[in-house]
Amino acid sequence: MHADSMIIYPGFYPESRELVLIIFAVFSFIIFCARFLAGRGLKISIRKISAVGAIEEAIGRAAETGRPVLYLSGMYDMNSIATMASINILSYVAEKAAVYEAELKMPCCRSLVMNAARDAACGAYLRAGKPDLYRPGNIQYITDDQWGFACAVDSIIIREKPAANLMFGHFVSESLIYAETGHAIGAVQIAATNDFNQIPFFVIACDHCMIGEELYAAAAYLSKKTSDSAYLLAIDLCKLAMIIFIIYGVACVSFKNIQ
Amino acid sequence: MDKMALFNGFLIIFFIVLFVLLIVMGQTLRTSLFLRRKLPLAFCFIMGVTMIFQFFIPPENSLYKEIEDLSTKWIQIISSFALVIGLISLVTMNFNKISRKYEDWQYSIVLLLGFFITIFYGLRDGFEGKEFDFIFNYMYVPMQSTMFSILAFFVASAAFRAFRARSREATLLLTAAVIVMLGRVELGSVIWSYIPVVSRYFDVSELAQWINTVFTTAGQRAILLGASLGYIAASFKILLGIERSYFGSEE
Repeated sequence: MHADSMIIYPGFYPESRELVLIIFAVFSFIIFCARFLAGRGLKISIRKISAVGAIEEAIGRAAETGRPVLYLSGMYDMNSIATMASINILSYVAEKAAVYEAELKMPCCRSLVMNAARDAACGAYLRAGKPDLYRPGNIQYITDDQWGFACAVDSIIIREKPAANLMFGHFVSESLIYAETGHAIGAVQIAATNDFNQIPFFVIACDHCMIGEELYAAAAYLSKKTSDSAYLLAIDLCKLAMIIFIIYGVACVSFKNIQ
Repeated sequence: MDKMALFNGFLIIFFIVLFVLLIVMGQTLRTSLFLRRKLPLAFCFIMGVTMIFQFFIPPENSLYKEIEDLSTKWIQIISSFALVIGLISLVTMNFNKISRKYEDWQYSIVLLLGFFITIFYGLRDGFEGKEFDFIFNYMYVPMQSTMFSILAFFVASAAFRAFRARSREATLLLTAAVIVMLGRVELGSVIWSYIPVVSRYFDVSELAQWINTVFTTAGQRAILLGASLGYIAASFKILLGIERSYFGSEE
């Protein structure tokens, strides 16, 4: 690629979107290769994510203190990939809550998320062998409105004083309200979001925080499926390709400037 | 008749028939693997691939416009169905809370009153009605503003905790934050001018700008790249039917 086309803003991507198509094709190829290799028995180890390990401790603490576990899946609907990852993690959380006999509460700001969450939690309680502990009413739709929902969650945190506050998903500006209120009541707080604007808030106010793609990695880490690990390998390979591209781009622009 | 309108009509009829069949035939259809898994997976795959193709069709092409219109309409239709589910759940839960006198049941009365009064005026007069307008401007908007303004206090308390220089990293964070804060307000440059040596060589607003454009942007882009790659991989999993959390449990 000629250095002239590397001028970043505006118009890095050509109007015809050819470059996007090429990147899309390369990434697709890498993802399919990783999946193929995993299918052939390639061993993929995922590094331990400390925040994921802390989930079980937090639920255990909630069971000991007799206080509930609060789970939030963010502001987005089921069309958000972050929400889907969150529902995957909820499945694990609900199973652990059933094992430790801790009460799990989940206010939802989207009705479709409520349905998917109820279904996932119901399955998790069944897997844990304690379907009688499952309370569909604990996973409840509140409102679609951002600040109305934040207000409701805030009041739930203050009234019910959950021992663990788990926040996984795509959060927007209300994230600090949840995290600070949870901190004020002394809850163990674990958060993960893909929104980089909210990460600093979670880092400050939470005990454990996962950033960026760790939200998706956590879902794969907990599922223990080889196919999920293959996707993590693909992401890492794509990242490596991007790093090479970035170094190449920086070199191109720098050398052009020197000349 | 417009081709797209005809297609929309067919799809709506299909879903209504499906919905009625689910009610009439009950358990047999609800437990059917085809309806619970295969049909939604097929829909997901077809729609996903269509949307990818749509991205690569030039916007001036009429097919692009048709796909965009169709998908927007369908998102609205499905969202309205989903809203009904949520509202039924909300009303049922709060009625139960009141009838069984659970803890804090009084709040549910306020919620249901607000809910039904707003619906009543909304349906009677539309969005332009005087009462509906009153509810929106003098109740809904101030309550929203109250919640939003609380954020300022939470930011202050969180910043206070974050800026305690207990470690090397926290001290770095504190230093960067102080520079950015000084660089963003007029008074900051006055305060900066009293700092010996450093103020002679560096302009605080330029320094703040440099921290924002170099360090902050680099960190944000790194997170964004990682998150975007995770997003792409997860999208593939959904398209290929490997990721099925949106169906709920497999059990």
